[in-house]
Amino acid sequence: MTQNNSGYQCSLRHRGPFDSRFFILLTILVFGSSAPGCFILRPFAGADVDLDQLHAARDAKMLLVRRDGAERLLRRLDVGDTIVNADISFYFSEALLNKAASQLDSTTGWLDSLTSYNIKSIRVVLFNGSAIATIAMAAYNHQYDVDVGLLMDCILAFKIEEGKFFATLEPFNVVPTVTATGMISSFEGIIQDIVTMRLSTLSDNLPPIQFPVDFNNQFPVQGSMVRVRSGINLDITTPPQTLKYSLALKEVLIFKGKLFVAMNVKKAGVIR
Amino acid sequence: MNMFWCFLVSLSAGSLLIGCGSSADIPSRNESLTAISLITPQIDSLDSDIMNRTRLLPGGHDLITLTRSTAVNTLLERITNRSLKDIHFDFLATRPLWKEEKSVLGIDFMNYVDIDTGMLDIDLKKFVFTDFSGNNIDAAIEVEGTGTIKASGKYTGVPATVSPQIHFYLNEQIKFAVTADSDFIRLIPVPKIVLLKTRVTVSLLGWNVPYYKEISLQIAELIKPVSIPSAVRSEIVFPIPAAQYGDRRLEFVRRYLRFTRSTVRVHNGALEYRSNIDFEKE
Repeated sequence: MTQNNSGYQCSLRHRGPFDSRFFILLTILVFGSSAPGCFILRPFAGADVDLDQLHAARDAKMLLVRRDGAERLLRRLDVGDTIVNADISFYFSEALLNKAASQLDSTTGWLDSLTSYNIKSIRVVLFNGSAIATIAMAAYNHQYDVDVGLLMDCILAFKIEEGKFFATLEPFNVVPTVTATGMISSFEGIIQDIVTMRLSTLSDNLPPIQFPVDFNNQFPVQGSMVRVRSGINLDITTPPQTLKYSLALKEVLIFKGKLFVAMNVKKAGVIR
Repeated sequence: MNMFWCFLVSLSAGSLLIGCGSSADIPSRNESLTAISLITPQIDSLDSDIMNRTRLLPGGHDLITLTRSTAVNTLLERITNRSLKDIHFDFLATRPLWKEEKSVLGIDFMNYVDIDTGMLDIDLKKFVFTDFSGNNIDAAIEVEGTGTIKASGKYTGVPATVSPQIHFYLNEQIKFAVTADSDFIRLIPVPKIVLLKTRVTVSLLGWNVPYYKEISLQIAELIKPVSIPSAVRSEIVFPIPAAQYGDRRLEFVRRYLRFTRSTVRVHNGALEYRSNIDFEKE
């Protein structure tokens, strides 16, 4: 993986005698089916790929995502109640999100028994109204000994399930800036459609980025004992108890450099 | 052979495209640059509007939580409203609770009442945070309960046992100091003597004993410091891709969270907790 002026440049490394042919197979394996709104930059068109064209297209799509997100956020700020109108508000910094995301750096997974992928890095940027993670990764077909490097831009979608707060990665830009020759060109259209069709498979294989937030919580309240020996002899005790509560998500908003999560108290009780 | 297989796979996959979204052709460089020049000022304008509306939002730490006093009181209200008894009183022998020496026709005698034993459980009637200011939280606490105890005594030399009624009442303003302790917010009761008003109504063989006492209690002994977690775990299990191919798509690694620069303050009617967080391997 190398980096040029406008971003990362991905590469296809040929190792075996049938590399270019098997790249078709690898491509099928690497990319999943149609993800709504997904934008596949057509990089498999042979040796004449224009990198400037590719990166300009990527930048334009990125800006489109940002603009749409900012418009949604502004509408929310204009019409909703004040954002701090919640029982508990959390602000997570972009730096913290990156610390969580970086737990996936240098991890390797499998798309099938013959194709592994390696997440080289994930970097998250929070814009007003959108969170975009850029994943630098590589896929490797072990049967045919072929590497594909690619850069994937994903929208972070934040969810709470079973008391866990995490972000799923929804790819919207995939930029495998490869150069291929020969029969690759003749399969261009089919490959492009297959890439589109199967992109969600890749999305499914990516683990979510989990945040260390617990929305089902409890804490102990110590018991006490006071001895009264004046006037009346009595012992006053308060039993130890555990206060338990759960929070319900009100909303998640993304601001430049910070993620805002508003929660309300859903349940509260005491156990002894 | 391989070429044929490859072609077959491609065609098969291609046949699945019916009903699926089609991919987008890459726009020309000029088309993209035109879009960029159109969208960039739109984003700048939107960002400016948003920044104007949100410039007071806190920042500067990895994690900031704001807990409103109303939220804490919601929790406390649910606790005080429950049916469980909050405070337990164990009466030990008190001899005497009350006595008076009398002399009738030259005969000296003593009227007295002893408390023999008794137990009483009473509810916390009210516990609310009334004010968040500085690094303190003011709270109002109210306790009230009535029960009976076992007592005995003598009146004009005649012994008797009775079950007098006892009534407790406490209504005080107390204060908590707020500090940050790693991933916890600590509420520490500020020492203060509070008065537990106690009234015992004894009627022994027609002798009515009006007993009233204000028992001094140290609130810091009655209420212990409370550590409230910041809602952020001290450890987390991260899902990562399974390194070996198999049925499991994910595997899990444990990371410990190290909290630094933790602070807490009371600000604008809310408890504001701040901390930086780092993930550490097992």
